Amino acid sequence: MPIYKHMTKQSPIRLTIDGREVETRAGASVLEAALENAIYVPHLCDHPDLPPAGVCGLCVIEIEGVGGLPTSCVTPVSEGMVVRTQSEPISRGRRLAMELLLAGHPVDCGTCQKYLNCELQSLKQYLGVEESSVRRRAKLLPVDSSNPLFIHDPNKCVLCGRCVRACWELRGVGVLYYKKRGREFYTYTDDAGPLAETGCRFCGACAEVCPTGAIQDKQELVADKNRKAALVPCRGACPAEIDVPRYVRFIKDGDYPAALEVIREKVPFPKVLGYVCDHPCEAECRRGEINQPISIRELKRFAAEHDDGLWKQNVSPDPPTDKRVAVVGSGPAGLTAAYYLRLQGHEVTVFESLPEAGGMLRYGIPGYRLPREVLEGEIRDIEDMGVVIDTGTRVESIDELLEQGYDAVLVAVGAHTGQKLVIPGASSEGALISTEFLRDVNLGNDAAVGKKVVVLGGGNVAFDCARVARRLGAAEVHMACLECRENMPASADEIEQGEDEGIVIRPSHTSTRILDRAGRVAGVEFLDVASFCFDEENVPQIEVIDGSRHAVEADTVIFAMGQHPDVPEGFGVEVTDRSLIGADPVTLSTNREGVFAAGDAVSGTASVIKAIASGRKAAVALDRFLGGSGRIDKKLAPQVEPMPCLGPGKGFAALSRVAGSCALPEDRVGNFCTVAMGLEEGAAADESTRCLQCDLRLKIKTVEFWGSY
Amino acid sequence: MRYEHERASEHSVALRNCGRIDPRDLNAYIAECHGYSGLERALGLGREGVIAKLRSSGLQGRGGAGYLAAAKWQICHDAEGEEKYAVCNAVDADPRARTARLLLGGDPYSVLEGLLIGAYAVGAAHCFVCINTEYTGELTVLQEALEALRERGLLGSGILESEFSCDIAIKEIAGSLVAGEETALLQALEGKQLLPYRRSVYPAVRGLYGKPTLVNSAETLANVSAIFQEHPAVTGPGGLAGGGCGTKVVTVFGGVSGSCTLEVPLGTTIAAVTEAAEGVPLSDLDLKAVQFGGPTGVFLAGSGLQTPITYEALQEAGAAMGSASVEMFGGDRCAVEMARDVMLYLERQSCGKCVSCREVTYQLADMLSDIAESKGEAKDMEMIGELCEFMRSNSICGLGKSAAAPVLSSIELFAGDYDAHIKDKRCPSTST
Amino acid sequence: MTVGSIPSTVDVVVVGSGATGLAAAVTLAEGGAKVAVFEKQRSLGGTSNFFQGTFAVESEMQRERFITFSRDEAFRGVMEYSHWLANPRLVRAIVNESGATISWLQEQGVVFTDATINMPDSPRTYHVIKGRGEAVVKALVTQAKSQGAEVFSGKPVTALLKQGAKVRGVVVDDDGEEVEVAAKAVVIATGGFANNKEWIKKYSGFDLGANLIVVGNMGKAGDGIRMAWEAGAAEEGVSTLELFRVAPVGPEFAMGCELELATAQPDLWVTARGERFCDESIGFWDTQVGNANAKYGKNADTFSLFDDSVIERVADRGLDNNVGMDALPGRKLVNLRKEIQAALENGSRDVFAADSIEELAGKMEADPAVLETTVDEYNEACANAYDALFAKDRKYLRPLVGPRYYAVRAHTVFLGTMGGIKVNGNLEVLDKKDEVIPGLYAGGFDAGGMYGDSYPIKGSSGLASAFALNSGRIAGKSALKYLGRWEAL
Repeated sequence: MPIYKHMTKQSPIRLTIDGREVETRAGASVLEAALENAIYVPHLCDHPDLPPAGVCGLCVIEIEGVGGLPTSCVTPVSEGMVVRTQSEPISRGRRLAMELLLAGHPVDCGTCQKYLNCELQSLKQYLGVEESSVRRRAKLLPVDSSNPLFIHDPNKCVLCGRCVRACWELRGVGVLYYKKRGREFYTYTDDAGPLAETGCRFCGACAEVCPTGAIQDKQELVADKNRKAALVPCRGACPAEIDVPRYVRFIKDGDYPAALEVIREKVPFPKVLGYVCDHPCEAECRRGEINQPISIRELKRFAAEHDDGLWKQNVSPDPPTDKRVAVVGSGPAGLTAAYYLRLQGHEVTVFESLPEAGGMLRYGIPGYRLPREVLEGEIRDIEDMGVVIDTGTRVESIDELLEQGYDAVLVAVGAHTGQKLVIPGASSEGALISTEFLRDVNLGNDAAVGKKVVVLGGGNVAFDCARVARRLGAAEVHMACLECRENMPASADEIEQGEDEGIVIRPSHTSTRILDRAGRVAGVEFLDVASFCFDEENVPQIEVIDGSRHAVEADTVIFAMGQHPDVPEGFGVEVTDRSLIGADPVTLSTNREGVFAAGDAVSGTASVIKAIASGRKAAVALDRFLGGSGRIDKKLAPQVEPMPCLGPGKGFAALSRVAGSCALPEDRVGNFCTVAMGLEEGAAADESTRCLQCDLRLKIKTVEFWGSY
Repeated sequence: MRYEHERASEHSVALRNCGRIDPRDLNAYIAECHGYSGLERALGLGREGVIAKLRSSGLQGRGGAGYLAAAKWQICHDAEGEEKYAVCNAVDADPRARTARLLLGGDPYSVLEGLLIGAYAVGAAHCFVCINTEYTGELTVLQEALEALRERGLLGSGILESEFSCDIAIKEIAGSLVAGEETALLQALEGKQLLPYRRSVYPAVRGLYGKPTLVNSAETLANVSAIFQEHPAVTGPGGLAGGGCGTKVVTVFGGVSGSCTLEVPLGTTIAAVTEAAEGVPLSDLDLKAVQFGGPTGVFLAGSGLQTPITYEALQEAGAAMGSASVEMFGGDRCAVEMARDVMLYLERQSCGKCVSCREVTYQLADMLSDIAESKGEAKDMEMIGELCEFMRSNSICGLGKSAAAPVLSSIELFAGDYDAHIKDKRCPSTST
Repeated sequence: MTVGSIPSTVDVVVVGSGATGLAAAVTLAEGGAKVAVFEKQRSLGGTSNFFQGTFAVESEMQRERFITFSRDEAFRGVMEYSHWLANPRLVRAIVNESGATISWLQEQGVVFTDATINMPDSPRTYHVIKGRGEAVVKALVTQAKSQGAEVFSGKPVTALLKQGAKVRGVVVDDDGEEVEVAAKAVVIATGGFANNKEWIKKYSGFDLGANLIVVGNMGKAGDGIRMAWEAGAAEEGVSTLELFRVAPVGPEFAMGCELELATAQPDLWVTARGERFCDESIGFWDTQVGNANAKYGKNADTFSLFDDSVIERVADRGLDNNVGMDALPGRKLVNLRKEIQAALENGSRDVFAADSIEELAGKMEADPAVLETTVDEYNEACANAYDALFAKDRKYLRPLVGPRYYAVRAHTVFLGTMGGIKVNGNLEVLDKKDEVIPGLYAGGFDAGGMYGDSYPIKGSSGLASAFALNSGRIAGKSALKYLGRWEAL
């Protein structure tokens, strides 16, 4: 017996389908055998990831020696079986099944969002059942759009039961049931209550396997978007394409070094980002539609704080290529590019005009936001790979680098030149520029402010200035910006923490002049703004409120509104009319062969993550230019297939966001100590558990339509 | 609730103790009814021996399909698996039949003893009794019975000082026609929705939680305990062991006597059962037809009423044992309305899972309603035939497979009624 | 898996698997060309799945039925409807080809049930298909494959490749990877840009989804038109839309539901303010009511009003106005009351019921005084059997008398955009100097020139599908000539 059993498990089964001898594994269904061998058999309830049900009646076939029309999805193959997939009785049976499936289904697809992605429509097209011999009806069931992620339209449901099987068998969640209202069936929660209250995990498997439009993603979440980016929006929103769900899952599973490795596959600054990333991922997080987004940045920091350093064993530069690259600027863009280029085997030297490396990470972002030892640690890791950083060396022209024999140059000088508004009084004593002010502070230069400070601007840099001013002893700090409060460009936590520190925010303000007393700043004159936007040419359109002129007293004014790169005269690359370095948006190449540009120098002031992403892109372009493959992604974290089973989720929807704690405002105003404290292990575990694991959905196989066979 | 004929008669096997003893008195069961001598005998025979004895009795499962009970036990016994389960279906899927209710309320120990014998034979240590949620009184009796058995050491570890350990749990199941489906019952036991699935292997091989599971009806199990107790009704002439076919519990309703349950020897004709229930000769009963076997049973009339109640004879007559209920329809009834009413009921009972049963019962209910209201057309009759065949061949469970039977038999028996509605646009059963 | 891999070289790439692309593909494959069809969507056929019939003149079917309407009459009809804004050589080519195309489709396995009219006072040019466009799609896909063409779904073409003036291939998005397919010729048939909000606004001034609702189109971003323009093609007819009827739109109105059919009946239609805006019986000709409605509906919705007498009438006597070929005149609406009830119970924001016109106006957010005046005047016109305002046929002048009044919110619905790429009568794509771009062809909703500013429904119903099928065939033949294969046929 054991030998026999062994044979049935291992040896392939041979059978004949439509006169063709085909082979398949033992235990396969006749339907699987046919599809594997490019023989199309229409099927609806069957799905490659779900146990077969045999309920739709479409995949019927004929088997020699077996009466009737067996259902191929639940009929196992056997050696020597002779199968026919096409005959008049088969067609009649399939058509009648289809007519019955469509009896209560809306007759026209013209307004359905699922149209052309709908298995039912494709099957109807294949089977040709435009005329119906059975009675048609409208089910007239109410559509449920109360869920933030999905729309349930029971009228479109044909009870294939895939969603129920996906919910129970694939995911182990078990919240979807067959339901009946009046005479009509549909699928929904047992007590017809909201999904959130039943233990739904919002994994989307039901919507993914639904062959019709009965369970669909909300249009606003997916319309006109790339499918993968729409369904896993955190990853889609990350400029550096960090695989967020994957590292969050590693944290959930307690493998923190693996989580860090996932992040390191895309960026060399995990911990820096854990402190200062503006996390565009969180704005897109699907969990945010249900209650609050996952604290992705805090989890990143948590992973980085649990670095065991073992990743270094798997990261080493490729064999030398004998190519030399010069990177001008040691900010996040420059260092990222340098790091990846070094790993590709090139010799990389980074030139930095300031005394220490880090660019805006060091000379823009204040220490209370980004502790210096964090920055220095990650820069050291980059240097450990063999990147040479030449600080205190200002590159005056590209030519001098090319003369030194560098094969390629990356210009990543950042945007360190701020600007003042052209308004009366702007040159008064005590009127400062954000970049200079912050640089002075971070250099340890004398950077005193008065008692009353007004910062003009509403972005993160403006907050940096305002909060630093508080730390330098200003008793009263005002921030004024054109935008209304809801549209302020600064991130929400900056605004919150700034206000906690006593900063007065004055949104919808336009400054008309700096008031001065004997050449010294005495205040700022404002008008209230009724509306503010940019027109199609990106020119600001400001509508002021008549008679709203008023003044705010001040002894120091800091302009924090727009920055551009500091490009030396005769540097040797094209500069645009916006004072940025001109580079092709895709290839990042400049007007000079072998010279590329990246980061804020190209885009104007952006975010750290965007600078890093730009550095990655530059590394790809430079590596290709130098004859490399351009493949800079590293496989560091273990390749583990995530468990498709999520299990029951009682109370899952209600789990609220665990945010990192902050030092108390009164403890932080007078010093530059770190404000954000990060997550404890328990909190990180809780937070990672909240993740919807949207990426699991992409693991579900796609059913091929008849047209593909 | 009182039933005229629920008491044991001389034929009684399943209902042998009902009404004779206090169902709550375990001592009485043991002392007066050979109670637990069957289990004791079974434990002495060994597992193979139990199945051999059951096989030699020839007992056919009383749940409806009539498979040889020993065959199912053997499959479950042979199935590989450390863990196995035994389940007693005591839901009475057909709401008008109430065999399980009578047994649980009148003689729970006979059923439980049968269940334990089954569990022992297949090697199951966990048993379940699935009871209809409406049977609240019987539930109490059952709970007390289990408690009494535990106290007596007849449940738990080392039953009757043997190696055999077993416990029984109760699962309440909402009554519905699909509850008669083994596969649906097992889903419900797993905490899932009561829905059948298309099985590729017997539950006896892969059932509850994927483990081999023996499922028997309460009536079957009451027969089992009688067989192992070597009860006189079994060993006597006409009894299974005495060379007879055994008995079947039958419920007759729709006549003047109301509802009546009796246990008759297999082979008794439908006519004889009806006469016995009504207490008058058939000729005095103005009968148009009876529906036999529950809501999915066929209509029988005329010579069909002489069909003996055995699994084989019924099958030959195009009928099935089902719940072995007999519903009487008087001579003034319209065949189309009878069929329509059955179909409306079946449509409500359809679980909705497979397209054939879900949609065809819906379509048939609508078409029969139209015909009954004389709004039908000749082409409807053709379509009914096609749909019935589709439902029979495509449905995933017994309910759907047999749901067309009443309609088809009605059309065959009473074509004239349909013709009158369709062609003459009138109902032959109304005086106008 | 079964799906074939994308070839690196073919003779002709067809972009899009609708009627245009498939007609071209079959024609090309019949001519011996190696063809690959790339469809962006998972399902094949696009908007072509919906048409129920197609326009043709001098077809065998018409001859058999003694229908004498001629090519010349049809040509004149289309040109005059467009006020000679249409491209006469293109119109001529399509009209002339149309009859033969019916026979050709029959050879491919398409079954036509009749040559008829689907609206009053029209010539019998509408060839009704058994099984709708879906049957045409299935037949043509099956034929194309049996002739050796390869069909790929879920694979959008993202760019055209040129070498000098000539087309040399396309770029295909193969699950995120860009793959080049070399081809001597490319037929563009992506079905217009009906879902491109930005372009609709830019070229036609409508706000898609707000005052203009598209049906039967999905994901039509104007890919083909964009690619052709990028390759130097000139523009023609890009602002023309196939406007359709007034229709309720929303989850509670499955297309073909009785509420929708009732809404389309020639009773009383009003603007959001509560004024009539057209002779409701122009609804027999879809485009006309689409135009009339769009004129008033650009700023707000319109409403179709009826009462219990209408509900009873459509239940007893059936429809006056057909809605497609599924709901022909005389079809009785037996579920209308049920559907209204369900819509009201489900809290519809588009269906209203009231006991008085004033109350109804309140629910519609119309001016009660205006609506009351409108209904009074309309009822008076009914009493006089004369519509002094819009001269509606007295046959359809039937008063609204209650006791319950109903209003259904309706929108301007359109079926597709009808232009973009400038072509000549051979469906060759022209550049801005009217020179042919060698190897580039376009047809169907991507090509302009067949229409003026509006779809010519009255004399040539079914012209959009006819243009798709015939432009595809002609493009296929032109490409075969270009490949030097036409003589071989």
